[in-house]
Amino acid sequence: MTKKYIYAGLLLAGIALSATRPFFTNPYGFVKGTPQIGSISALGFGQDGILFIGDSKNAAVYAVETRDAKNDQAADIAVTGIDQKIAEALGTQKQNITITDMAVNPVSKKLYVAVQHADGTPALLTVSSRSIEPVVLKDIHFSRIVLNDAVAEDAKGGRGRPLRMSAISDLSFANGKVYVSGLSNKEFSSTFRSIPFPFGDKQEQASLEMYHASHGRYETTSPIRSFTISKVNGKDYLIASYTCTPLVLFPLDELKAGTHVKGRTVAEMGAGNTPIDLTTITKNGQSYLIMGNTARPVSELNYQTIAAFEGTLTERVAGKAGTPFNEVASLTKVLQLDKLDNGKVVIMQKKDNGDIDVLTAANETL
Amino acid sequence: MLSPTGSGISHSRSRLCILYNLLFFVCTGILSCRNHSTANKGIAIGWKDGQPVSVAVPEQMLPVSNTDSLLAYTKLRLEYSNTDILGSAAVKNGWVFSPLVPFTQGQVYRVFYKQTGIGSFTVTPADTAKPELARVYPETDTVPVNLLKIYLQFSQPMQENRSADMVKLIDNGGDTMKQVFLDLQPELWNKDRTVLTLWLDPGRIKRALQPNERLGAPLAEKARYTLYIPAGWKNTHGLAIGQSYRKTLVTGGRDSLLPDPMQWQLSVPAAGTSAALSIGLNKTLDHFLLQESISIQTADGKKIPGSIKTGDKDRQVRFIPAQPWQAGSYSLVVDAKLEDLAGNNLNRPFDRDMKSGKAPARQEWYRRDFRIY
Repeated sequence: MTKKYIYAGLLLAGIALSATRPFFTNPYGFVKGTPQIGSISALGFGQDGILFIGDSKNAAVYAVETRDAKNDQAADIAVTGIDQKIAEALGTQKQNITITDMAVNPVSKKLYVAVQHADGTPALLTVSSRSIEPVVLKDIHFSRIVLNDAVAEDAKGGRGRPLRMSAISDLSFANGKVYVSGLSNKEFSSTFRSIPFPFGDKQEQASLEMYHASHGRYETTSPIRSFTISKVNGKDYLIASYTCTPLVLFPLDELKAGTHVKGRTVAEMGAGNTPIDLTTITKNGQSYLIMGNTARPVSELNYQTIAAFEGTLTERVAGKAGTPFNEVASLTKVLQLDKLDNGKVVIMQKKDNGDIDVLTAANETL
Repeated sequence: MLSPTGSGISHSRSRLCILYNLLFFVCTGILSCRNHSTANKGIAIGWKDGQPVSVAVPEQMLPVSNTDSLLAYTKLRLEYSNTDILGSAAVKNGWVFSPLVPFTQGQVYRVFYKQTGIGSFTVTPADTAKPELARVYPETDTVPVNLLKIYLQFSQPMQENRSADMVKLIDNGGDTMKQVFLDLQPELWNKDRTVLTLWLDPGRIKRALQPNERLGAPLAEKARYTLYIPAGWKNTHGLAIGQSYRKTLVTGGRDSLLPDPMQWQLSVPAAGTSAALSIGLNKTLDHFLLQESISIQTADGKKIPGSIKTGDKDRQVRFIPAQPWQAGSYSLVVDAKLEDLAGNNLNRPFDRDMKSGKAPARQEWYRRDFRIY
């Protein structure tokens, strides 16, 4: 009889253990605590709704567990005067805040918005049509990788001297890696790193100097402003937009530590303009690269046209801007842009009166 | 000073509680002794690193004592706003609230319990020294027409994202030039937010790029410009620079020559002295890169301890050894990333004419040997 109770007890304990097991798994090597985030310059999402936060001030990337619930039905987001509403929720005036990035969690379809207060304090919020909520960054599961230190370690291994990064210009997750582009506040150079995730002790990072040729005449180095990873003709490419406007393609498999990769300029996006965000959407069965611009309307490039444009470094880019692109006349002064789901994009736009609005647009209307 | 809108509600409390209250407000009073705030009597601002980061409303001003009710219904709002300010609240000898970002100085905040106002406060600027624009690099008045970078060095950490409004380049006719500086987000600050790097639009400087072909280069040769920064740029504590700043820039020709350590003039000191090794650079180089790009090494590659000082408006560098020089062979080692004012580094010009046929170098370091006798 006693034995029976013991067996029953062991069985129950086993069931209890197996039931609680998922709570003990930690596939991403997270620790529990409060990340000391100094700034939020860039946001991106990875698998399982993991949020990547680029911290320029500390030259670090944080991976944060959001625990957002899965949601297949993305609700449209429309907020007028989002800068005023965020400022009021932060207890300040809108001239004291800067919206530094926004990204949609593909799991929950929630819109995450990063804000910086005038004194440098960062804040992370979620925004819907109904509310602005803070994202809790205290006692959470997270991991961190310090970018500059890691490259210094690389340098010891003879794989190039450290290229310090003082500002993270963009961040993206693809194929199990976090890609980070950065600018230096001193030398005019580009740092672009690919960091395997989960973050490990041994970091395999690439510090790349990229060259692009303008009109086949001058070859220049330049820092990347924003980028996306996408397929062209079935092959993975880094599609990068530069501080001096060209749009450049780099085969992803050529980007290795310490290499110097020559990119192929496929378009020039115009003067006095900063390309803000790049994303890929599908409409009418075709893939398009969508680019948000500060001084020009949203640009749209058909991937088939990009693939067909086989201009090489030594050929002069023909016409106005290499690969032809459409402009969405109604979408000027776009400050942020991301995919809401497969059929819609969410856009943050500066209006003529200076207000900033959030709106949702169906892919077909672009 | 009391705000006329507030209404404190007192409750009987135990002696111990009053003692804790007193201790708490004495403590916050000490923390905020160099700062000021205008509030209902008893409302205290908590300061950290010179920033107003929390507010404490004492128990006697709160209408209820139940912790759950206080946490659920006590809210902070801006005057004239119905939006609850985001942050974290706790009940500890009163209601203590820490907003997500520090309070804004000069702003009126109101505390509500449900829809009833129970107090208000204003944070006024800290009584500290005003920030100054300490230096602007390059310090020379004459610059190449393809000048790439300007550094602004401040005496205190400054508010970010102000450069587009605060930094103007004015041409000789008195017109403010448009699209001269690259609009970067985030701006390029050093870690302590005292040095800002501004790039003149590289797309306009680089030959054959669209912005260059459409708008031309940002600067014209042999022209005179004024860099103008009006008073008003605030530091992170909300205090503004009191004086405007003007600097004249006169442009010369295009500089496409790489800095070349082999052409630099070395004045080599004698063995047994601690005199500086003086290096004439032939032209002005990047002030901040100079300080981290140059080292002196022994013949077997060991770095000599010492300090680097720039001089002659960054046309000269002096290396002062920590120990007297010993006779022998040394190397001046220069990082290839060192740039001149036009962004040419030791390996490549800022933009390379591919028809010239010369491929850019890929060296990481440049070495020049010298002997001390």
